[in-house]
Amino acid sequence: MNAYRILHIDDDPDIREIVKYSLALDPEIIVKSSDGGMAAVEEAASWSPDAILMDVMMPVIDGPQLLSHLRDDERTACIPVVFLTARAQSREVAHFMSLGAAGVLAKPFDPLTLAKSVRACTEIQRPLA
Amino acid sequence: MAQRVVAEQAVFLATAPAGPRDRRLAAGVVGVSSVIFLALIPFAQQPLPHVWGFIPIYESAIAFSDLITAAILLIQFNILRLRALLALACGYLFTALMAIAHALTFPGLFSPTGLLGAGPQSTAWLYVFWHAGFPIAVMGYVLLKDRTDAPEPSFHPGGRALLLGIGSILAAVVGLTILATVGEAFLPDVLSRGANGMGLIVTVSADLALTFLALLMLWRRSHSVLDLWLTVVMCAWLFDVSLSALFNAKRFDVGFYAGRSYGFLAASFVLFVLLRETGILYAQLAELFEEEHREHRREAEERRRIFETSLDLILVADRRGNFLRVSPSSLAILGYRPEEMIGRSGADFVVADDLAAARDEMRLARRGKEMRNFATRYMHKEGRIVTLDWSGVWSEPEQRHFFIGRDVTEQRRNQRLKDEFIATVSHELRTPLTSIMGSIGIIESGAAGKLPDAIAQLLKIALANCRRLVTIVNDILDIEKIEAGKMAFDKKRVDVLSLLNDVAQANEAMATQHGVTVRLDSASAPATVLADANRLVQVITNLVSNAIKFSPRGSEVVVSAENKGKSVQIKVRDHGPGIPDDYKDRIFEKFVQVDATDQRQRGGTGLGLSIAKQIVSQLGGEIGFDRAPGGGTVFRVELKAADAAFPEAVKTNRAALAS
Repeated sequence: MNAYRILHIDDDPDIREIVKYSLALDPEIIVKSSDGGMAAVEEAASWSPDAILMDVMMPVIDGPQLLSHLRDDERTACIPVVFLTARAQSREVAHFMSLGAAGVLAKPFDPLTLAKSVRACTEIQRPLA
Repeated sequence: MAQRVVAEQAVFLATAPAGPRDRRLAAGVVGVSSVIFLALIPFAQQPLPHVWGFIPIYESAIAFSDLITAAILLIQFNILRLRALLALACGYLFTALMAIAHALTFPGLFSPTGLLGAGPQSTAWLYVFWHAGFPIAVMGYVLLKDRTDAPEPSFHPGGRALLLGIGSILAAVVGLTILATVGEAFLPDVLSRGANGMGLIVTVSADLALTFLALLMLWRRSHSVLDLWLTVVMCAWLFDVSLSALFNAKRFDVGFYAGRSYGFLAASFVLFVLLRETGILYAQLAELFEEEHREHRREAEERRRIFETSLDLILVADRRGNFLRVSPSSLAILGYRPEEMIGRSGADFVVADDLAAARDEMRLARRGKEMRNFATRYMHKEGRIVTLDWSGVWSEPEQRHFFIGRDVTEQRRNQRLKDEFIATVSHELRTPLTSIMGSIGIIESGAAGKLPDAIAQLLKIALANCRRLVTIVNDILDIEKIEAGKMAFDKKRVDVLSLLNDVAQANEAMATQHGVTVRLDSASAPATVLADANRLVQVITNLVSNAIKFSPRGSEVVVSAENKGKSVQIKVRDHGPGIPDDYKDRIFEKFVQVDATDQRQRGGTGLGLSIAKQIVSQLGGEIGFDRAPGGGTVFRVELKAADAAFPEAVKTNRAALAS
């Protein structure tokens, strides 16, 4: 079984908990959580996840800024990033995609289909083994 | 302004039509003159004392009067450019100069035989020439007046024609004077021993004939006031020649004096009316000037008040952007008094980042574009930024920029706060909902372990209401966005049938729950519209879900699309009870929900149709409903077909590329 590693970054501990449970419904997915900031960048660099699921509105460093840091670091530049956000209007989605996001998922989400949605956004960008 | 006088009033005697009053006055003058003339004829040969002073006084008065008349007529010729007036002016000039020559040659006045080498017949011949010349000039006036090829009124002197006219008259006068004096021997005698001879009677008869002819021509064509008074002049001329050369016997008899008196009157009539006309013109001109001055003063006062009381900032600047005038509102808006800004450049006050754009706008205004509308940020004296929305124009004649700026700092701040509120509320409501729905969803699915039936049922209720709460939050935020003009539309070509199919499938579960089927009408035609696909789905989903909610069990909801060429009409038809009459006018308003009559929970926020209407409107379409044949309701959404709407898309894209 190919493990699919997802790093989830969100400042809200409840959301982190829910996402963990949701993604765990897919037996192939291994989830690690981070509450954001540069520590998240380091976590991504050291753990090398297959995808990063990230909130947009976070204190200190928000989602787009964090994405920029990930892209600047050659260790994390190629990891696909999916935004999970309460601000999912068409123009905002287009903006996030223009920043280099692999996808944008809206909050609130269906916990039973979250894993499938994240994989749908990222699997085409997953590097071939 | 003076052109207005010329154009509007036709106040010149030569062009003003003669009215009944003028005609009555002229007729009265001619009538009285005629009576006096007829009364004098029997006494014309009665000798009277020789009043030598009469000749120089009379001739001087005539010369003076005729010269002034000629001058006024020449001025009018300069304005009206009527050649007829030049001819008449030349006639008066001729008369004036001939009167001088006549006086100089009059025997016994300045010398026993008269000056200029005059002989005994010279003065009489000069009289004959003089009294032939003016009627000829009048005939010339009448003939030239009938021509309609006069150029437009102008203030540029008709120099050449004028000089030619005056030169010709001078030459004629000199020539005739030489002929009557030095060349007297070549002319037949008209006086016999100082009395009127047969020659004079013949020549004067010729003068009378010319006068009569001129009178006749004037009579047939007398339209203007000048024409009318020239007719009177010709009558007086007739009486003058008749009395002083035909009916009298010799010099210094009743006819001699009376005729010359008529001659003086003849010389004066036109002058009097011209002077009267001049007086009237001056008065009207003064009145017009005063009126215009009053109007200018009023306008200037109005502009001053608007300038001083304006709450907006009014600026007048030169082409370099240096302020020439600044309204007092500058103190309230930017913290600077007008005098602190006048003479300085706009660049001293504009935020550096906005300077280039502001200069571009000024440049475009100078290139002839219409009013420019743009926003610029300024540094307030206290160091904060003020945003002004400007309207500006460039005046080429005055070489000035005119700007009016409205302080929109507060408005923009409020808008930013509102945007932040929407974003914050959006985030702060949806985040806990995510946790709630996520938790319940996971438990309800059994992923956290099997649940007792009762708890599963309760969780089902909780989850359904979470979803309902999400819908309410989304609807409220959508309405807020739409009303703030902040809802973004990503317009692309949308396959309508594919979209309707997706909506039908997405609502299948809900339909099954209500015992209703949703189907796409097979007669629907393929069609493409230019729309934001997500928002159009939102609209059709709202209509379909409403149709499902209000449909009886076992019925169907039919979705269809009709391609009408330039537009596409989407219909959602149900077999429900229809919309009650008292809701028909309000169905698209916010928070309006048709009351449930069967206790079945309809759900919804009462915002769905309001949102749908606003979305359709923003997409450039129309939404409405009708009673369906056989019962139920048909909701219609009509949008422009993509090909018909394509030019709009091209324009939008070009604008986007340009920005």
